[in-house]
Amino acid sequence: MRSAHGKFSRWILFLVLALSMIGSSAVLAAGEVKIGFLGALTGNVATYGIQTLRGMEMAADEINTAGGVLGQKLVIVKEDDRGDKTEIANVTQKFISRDHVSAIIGDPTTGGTKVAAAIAQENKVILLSAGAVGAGVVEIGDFIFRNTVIDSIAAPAVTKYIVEQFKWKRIALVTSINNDYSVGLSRIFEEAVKDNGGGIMVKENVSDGDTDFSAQVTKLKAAKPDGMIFTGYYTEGALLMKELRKQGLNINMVGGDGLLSPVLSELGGKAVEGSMVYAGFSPERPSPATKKFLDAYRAKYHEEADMFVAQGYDAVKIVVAAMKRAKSTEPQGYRKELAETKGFPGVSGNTTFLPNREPLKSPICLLVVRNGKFGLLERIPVSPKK
Amino acid sequence: MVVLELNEVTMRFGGLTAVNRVNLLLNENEILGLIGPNGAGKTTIFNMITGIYTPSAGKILFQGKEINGLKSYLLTRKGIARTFQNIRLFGELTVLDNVKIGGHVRSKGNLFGALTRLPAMAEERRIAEKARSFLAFMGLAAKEQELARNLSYGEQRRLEIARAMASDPTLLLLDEPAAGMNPQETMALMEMIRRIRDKGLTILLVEHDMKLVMGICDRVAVLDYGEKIADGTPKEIQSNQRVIAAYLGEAG
Amino acid sequence: MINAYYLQVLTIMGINVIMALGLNLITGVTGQLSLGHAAFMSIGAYAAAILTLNYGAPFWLALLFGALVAAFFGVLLGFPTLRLSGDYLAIATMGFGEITRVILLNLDIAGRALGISGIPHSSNFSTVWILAVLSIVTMVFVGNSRLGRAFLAIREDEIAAEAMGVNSTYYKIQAFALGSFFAGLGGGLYAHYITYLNPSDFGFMKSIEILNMVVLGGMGSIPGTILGAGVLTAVPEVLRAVREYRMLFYGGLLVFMMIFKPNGLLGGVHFSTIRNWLIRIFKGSAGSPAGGSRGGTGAGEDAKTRVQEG
Repeated sequence: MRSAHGKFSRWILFLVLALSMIGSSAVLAAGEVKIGFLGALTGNVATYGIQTLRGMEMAADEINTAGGVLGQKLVIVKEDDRGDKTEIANVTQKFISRDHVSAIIGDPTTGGTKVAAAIAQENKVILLSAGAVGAGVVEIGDFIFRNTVIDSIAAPAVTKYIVEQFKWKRIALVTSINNDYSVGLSRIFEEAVKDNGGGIMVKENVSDGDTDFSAQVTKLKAAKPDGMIFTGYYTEGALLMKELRKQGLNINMVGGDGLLSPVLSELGGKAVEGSMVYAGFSPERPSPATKKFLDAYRAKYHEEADMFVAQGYDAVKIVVAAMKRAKSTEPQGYRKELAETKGFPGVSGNTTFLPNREPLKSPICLLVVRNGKFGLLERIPVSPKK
Repeated sequence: MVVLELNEVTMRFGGLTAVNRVNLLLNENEILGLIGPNGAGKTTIFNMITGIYTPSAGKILFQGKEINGLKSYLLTRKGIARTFQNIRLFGELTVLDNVKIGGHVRSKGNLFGALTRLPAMAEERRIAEKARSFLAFMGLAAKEQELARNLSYGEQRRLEIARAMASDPTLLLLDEPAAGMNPQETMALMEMIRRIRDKGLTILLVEHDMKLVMGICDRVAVLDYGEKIADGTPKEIQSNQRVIAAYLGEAG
Repeated sequence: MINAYYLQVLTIMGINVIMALGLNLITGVTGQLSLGHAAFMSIGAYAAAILTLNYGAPFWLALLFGALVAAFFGVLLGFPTLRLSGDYLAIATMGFGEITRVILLNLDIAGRALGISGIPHSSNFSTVWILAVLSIVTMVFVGNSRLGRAFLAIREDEIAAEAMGVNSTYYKIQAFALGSFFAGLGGGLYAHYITYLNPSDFGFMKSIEILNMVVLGGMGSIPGTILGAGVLTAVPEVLRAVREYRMLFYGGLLVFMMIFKPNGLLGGVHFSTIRNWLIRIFKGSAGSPAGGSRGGTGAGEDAKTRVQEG
C-alpha cells in the first residue's frame, strides 16, 4: 500500500500543471514599466477602487504622452480584488511574480493594504496606498508607503487652527466609546488641544447607535464650552448637534472624516450648519495645476473628481518622480528616492514622506457645512511637528 | 421465560384512549402475531414498545426490566430490533453498509479507532463478515454493492429484516413485513421468519395478511378499539366469536 | 521553480480543501446544513493568531490550539441546537456565525474592529498541503469506519438510525466537533498566511463560499469536495482574463452547475469508485470490494457509475 502522501502528490501535480498551463502567457514585455492597481472594482467598496484607478490611468496617460518613464512606456496593470482578503493576497502576489510590477498602488482600505503590504514587503516591492488612513500600515516595512491625510497629522493642524483663529479655549470633547476610530482620534485631539494651549473643559462619551444624547448635552452645557470636538461618525454627529440646538447650546462642531457624509446634513438639517470637517481634498478654489486636473477629469468622465481620484493620480506621479530621480524602475533602486520625497506638488496637496514613511500632506482642507453642503473653509498648511 | 411483558398498558392522546389496559406476554423463542382491524391500536402498541411513545399508564417489561419511554437507540442496545411499516432504509448507502449500520450496537470503534486504523481494521473485517452472513441468510448476498434504494420492494423488506438482525436482538419486532409482497414473496418470507425463530429469536409480528399470521404464529393476540379481545393459538382465534364479529363488523 | 503566484493560489486551495472537508463532514456526510462554517474558521484563526502573537507559541501548537478551540465551540453550539433540524438548524448556525462576528468586533484581545495584524507568516505551501493530505486521509478513514457509517445513517434517516442503536445527538455533536476542528485548522493556516484578521472577513458570505465548494463538488463525496474547493479557488483567478465580467462568469458557472449537475461534479463518487474506474480502465475488470488500500489517484472523469463504498 502506497503512502497517502504519495497518492495525493499526483493529484497536486495535476492541479499544478493545469494551473500553469492556464496562465503561462505572462511574459514581461520589454520597454514597459508596470504599476499595479490593487483595489475593488466590484463589491461593497468598489467606489474607492474605481475612483483611484481613474486617477491612476489619467496620470499614466499624461506621463506616456510626455515620453514615458526613462524612455519606457508606463502601463497600469489592474485587477479587481472585490475587497476580499484572499483575493487581495492573490492579486498582490500576481503583480509581483507574474506581472513583475515596479510598484503597487492600493488597496484603498486599511485592512486590504495590511494584507498586501505584508506580501509586498516580503518580496521587496514598493507598495503605496492612496487610501489607507488607519494605524499600523507603514510600520509593516520600509517598502510600504501611503499618500493620504492621516489623523495624527491632520487633527493637530486643525486643532491649532481652531484654537488660534476661532479662539476656542474651552473645548468639549465627545467620543463614541464603542468606535475604535473615534477613541483613537479623541486621543490625538486631546493631546493637540493641550499642545496648542487650549483646555478640554468636559469629556463625554456616547456610543454608536445611541439616539438620545440629552444627558451628555446637559453636562456639556454646564461647562460653557467655546466649541465641541466630536470624533465619531456622521449619524451620531447629526443627532448630537440637534440635541445641542434643542438645549440652546449654540456652539459649532469639529470632527474628522468620519463626519464626512451627505447624511450629516440630511439628518442634522439646520443644526449642523457651521459644523466643520477636515479632509484631504477639495475641488474648490484650486491651484492652477489642480484646476487643469479637474478640468481634464470633467472632460473625460463628466463628473467632479473626488479625493480618491486625486490621490490615485498623485500616487502614480510620486512613484514615477522617484523613479526618474533614481534613474531606476527597480523597487530596490528607487526606494530610497521615494522615501526622500519632499514637498511633491500634487493635485491633492503637497506630499512629504517623514522618516517613518508616513505622509505629511499639506494643506489640510477644512470643510464647513453651508446650506446643507460641504464647502471649503480654509486650506491649512501643515509643517512637520517639532 | 418471558421476554416481553405488557402490564395494563394504556395510551391516551388527549381525550382519546388508543390503547386501554392491554396485557400481553411474549415467551422466549415464540412468534406472536398482533392483529386487529384498522385503528385497533396495533401500531400504537408497536410504537410504545419501540420507544416512540411513552405509555400513559402501565408498564412494559423487557426481560423483567421496565423499558417505558426509553429512547429507541437504548432499546436497540438492550436487544430489541425493529423494522418499519413504511420502509426506512439508508437509501443512498449500499446494501452491505445498511447491514453494517445494523451492527452498530454490537461493534466497537470511535474516532480514535477510525484514525488508528490497525485495531479498527480487524474489527471492520469482523463487522463486514457478520453483515455478509446476515445478507446471505436473507438471500441478498449478490446485492451487497447495490444502493439500497435500487432494490426491489420485496428485497427492501428483506434488507430491513437483515439490518434489524445485525443488531443481534433477543426480540425482533416486525411491522407489517409482508405489506406489498406478492404471494410467492410472502411464502418465502414466512419461511425466513421461521428460520429466524429457529436461530433462537423471539418475534412480535404486526400484520394484516391472515395467511401469514395464521401460518407461522405460535400465538395470536387480537385488538379491537384499543382493547385486547382475544389471545390464543391460531386455531382458537379463527373460531373466536368476538374476533369474527370484530372483523365482520369492520368489513360491514 | 513554480511561480510564486500559482504557489500561493495552490496554498489557499489547500486551506480551502481543509475547511470544505470539515463542512462536508457536517453537511455532506451527516446531513446537517450549517451556514456558520466561517465562524468556526474565524475562531480557529483568532485563537491561533493570538497564541503566536501574544504568547509566542510555536506555529504548530497554535494551529492545534485554534482547531481545538473551534471544535470546543462546535460542541458548545451542538448541545442546544442539534435537537433542531433542517431549516431551523440552518438558521441557528447562521445566527451563531453573526454572533461570533459581532463578539470578535467587540473583543479587546481580538483587536476589535481593527482586527489583528502582523501575524507571523508561518503557513506555506508544504505545511498547508501536508495538513490537507492528513485531513483527506482522516476523512477517508472516518468515512470507512463505524463512526462514519453512523454519520451517514443519520443523514439518510435519523429515525431508522436511532432504531439501529445510533444515538443521533451524540453523533451529530461529534460531527460538528470534528467538522469545526477542520474549520479551525484551516482558519489558523489562513491567519498565518494572510497575516491579518478582521471580523468582516468571516461573514455569512464566507460561510456560503465554503458551502459552495461542498455543493459544487458533490455533498458527501471527499474527492468531490476536494475538486469543488480546487475549482472555486482557481476559477476567480483564472477568470481574471475576462476582467469585469469575472464575477458574472463565476456566478453563471454555479447556476449552470446546479441546473445541469445538481448532485455536484463528483456527487456519489468516492475514492473507491475512482479506483474501480482505474482498475476497469487498466485491467478491463471490476475492482474488488471493501478492505485493502483505498483512495485512487485521478480526477475529471464523469460519474456515471454510482458504486458506493463508504
